[in-house]
Formats: sequence, structure tokens, C-alpha cells
Amino acid sequence: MLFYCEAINHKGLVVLDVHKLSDLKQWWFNREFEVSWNNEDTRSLIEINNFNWIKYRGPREGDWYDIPNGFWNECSFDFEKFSYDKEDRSVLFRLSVEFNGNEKVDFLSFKTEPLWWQHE
Amino acid sequence: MNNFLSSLNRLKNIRLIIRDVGHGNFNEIQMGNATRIIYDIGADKYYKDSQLRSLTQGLNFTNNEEVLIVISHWDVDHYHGLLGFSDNQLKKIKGIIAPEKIPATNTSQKIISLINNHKIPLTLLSFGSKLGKCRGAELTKYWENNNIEIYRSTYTRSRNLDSIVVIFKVNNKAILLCGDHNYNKLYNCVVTNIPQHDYIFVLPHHGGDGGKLDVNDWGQLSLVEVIISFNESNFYGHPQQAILSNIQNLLGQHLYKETNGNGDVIINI
Repeated sequence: MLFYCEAINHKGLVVLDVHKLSDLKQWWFNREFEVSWNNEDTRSLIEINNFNWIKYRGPREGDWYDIPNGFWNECSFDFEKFSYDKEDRSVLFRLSVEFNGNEKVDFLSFKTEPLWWQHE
Repeated sequence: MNNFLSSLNRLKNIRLIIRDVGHGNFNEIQMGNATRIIYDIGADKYYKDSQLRSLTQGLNFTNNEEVLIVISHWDVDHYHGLLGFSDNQLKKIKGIIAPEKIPATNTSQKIISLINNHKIPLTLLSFGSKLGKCRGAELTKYWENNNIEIYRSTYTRSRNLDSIVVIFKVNNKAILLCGDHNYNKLYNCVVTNIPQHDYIFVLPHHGGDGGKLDVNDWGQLSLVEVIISFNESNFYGHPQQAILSNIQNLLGQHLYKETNGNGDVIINI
């Protein structure tokens, strides 16, 4: 599935967005999360903590990546941090993720062509 | 857009407000109670609903006020503040100017939908043409009148450099608003066009990586105010100490100003 790198900090924190909310919904179902998808929630930013990548092969702000399921199999998911049910919730973030993999990731191998909105 | 900007000629007294929006950018040029230009309408990406609401409710648009927005580049902490605008506030926006290439994300689409649903004119600027002033991407003048110069970058794949830079010239002062751009390109392509003014400079990239700040170049200017929009809780380590040291050396006795939870920085010109 396609993800856009919104921000990184070179200390293991990455912020991703998605192309369409429907993509994120499908990904959510495919992951079989115990927390059900909320159609009212239009937020889509995902933060990944503790992410470890091969030097010079990490994510770059502004680039797009086709991240395989195997990557997410090495992650745990915090549904509470940015819960839609919070009284004062995050404006943009939907999900917090912790990367638990032992091996550094060649994230650059996931890089794909950029997507731009078409306009008149 | 051209009519709106053209009407902003021979400005005499304005107020510059650099809003304290956490680690983001939200800058206003207020011209009395009638007109406001907002350069970057962002906020900290970790803002909660209450924080965004507090920001937008505090804008205090007047009944007859007209607002123009310039989005410097499509980085979410420079544009997502628009999500907090009420319908009444959105009605006061006469136009939005932004770079043409919009990353096709869900978040940017929410902004575009908001703009389209409220029929706000959106002017998307394509890349400028290179003039050979510096290597790689340049900033070329897109539009100007007596008080405002708008610069657009030439082709670049960098999200930060694919941007719009604006200079407001009032009472022999030049307010330089530049998003997350690069010091070298700002100096060679923009500032050298207006060397005689006293500069009020909102630092690029929250005082973070904007390339080398050449003190020999910038030291030739009269730098009267420098403002850094950031929050120390940011995970980038902004602002960089080397940038702060150089800026303070350039300012001499005068101290730079920062938002950083201290509230909005307001400068009357």
C-alpha cells in the first residue's frame, strides 16, 4: 500500500500519510485490527516510533513508498494515543506505531513514483 | 488575485504577527481592519482540536475584512490550520495562492475539498524560469508592485524548495517570509534585489536546516528583526545552535525573537 512520508527526524520517528482514506480503510481491514474502523474519523497521519533503517536507505520527506505487509508484521499498534474518542483529540494523527523489528530496514527499496493531485 | 494584490499599493502602516502555533508557521500581515494577508496557515502537526480552535478563534476577523492566503509549500505544518476555520472565516478568504504540485495525500485533499466547497479561488503557481543566479533551484520574481514582491522557485524535487517566497516593503523596511527555504538562494535570488531596506526576517525552517547562513553575505544587509517560529518540544532539534549564533552575531545588541510558547510576536511597521 502507498504511503507518503510527511516527516522524519533521523532518530527513529517517521510520520506517514496515505493517498486516500479508502486505502487506509482497506489496510485497516486487511490487518484485522481488534479496533474497528471508524467512518467518522477522516484523519490519516501515522507516526512510527523506534524505526531503524539502513544508513542512507531510510525514508525521505516528500517521497512515496509502497510498504509491504511484512513491514507492518514487525510493528505493534497503539490505538489509544490518537483515539477518535478522546475528548480533545489530535487534529491530524490517527495511529501510533512502534517498530519492533530486529533488522534495519531498507526503506528506500519501497520507494515509488510520486503522486500529485490533478487539477484543472 | 491580481486585483486583490494590486489594490495593496502604497501601504504605509502594517502589523506583522508571527503566531505562536507550536512547531509550525502562521504569519499575518494586517493592514488596518480591512485587509489581511496570511503567509502560511500552519500549526504544529501534533496540535489537538482545542489548540487549533484557540488559534483560529483568536484571529478576530472583522466584519468587512478581506483575507488572502499564501501557502509557501505543501508541508502539513504550513497549511493545516485551515482545517480549524469556521464557515464565516472561510467566507472572508478572497483567494489562496500555493505551489502547483500538491502531494496527493488524504490530508492535502481535505484542504483542497474545503477550498472548493467554499468556492475560494485557488491560484496554483507553476515553476518559475531559471535566470542563472545560483546552482540548482532558484527563486524568480513572479509578481510585484510598490509594496509586495512574490517569488516562485524554479524546478526542484525538494518539497521545501518547491515554494513561494514573499517580501513586503513598507516604510523602507522589508519583511522576508520564506517558509522552509534556503539561505543561499534567498540571498542570491531575492535579498540582493532589495539591498537597501531594513530587513525583518522570519527564519526559514524554524531555524533548522536551511543550508549555510553566510554571515559575510547577510552581514551586508541591515537586519533589524529576526523571528523564529518554533516550539522546543519539536523532534527535529530546531533551531540549530549554529544558526542562532550566526543570527545573533548579525543582529548585534538586538536580540532575536521567538514564539516557543511565549505567545505571538507582533511588530508594528
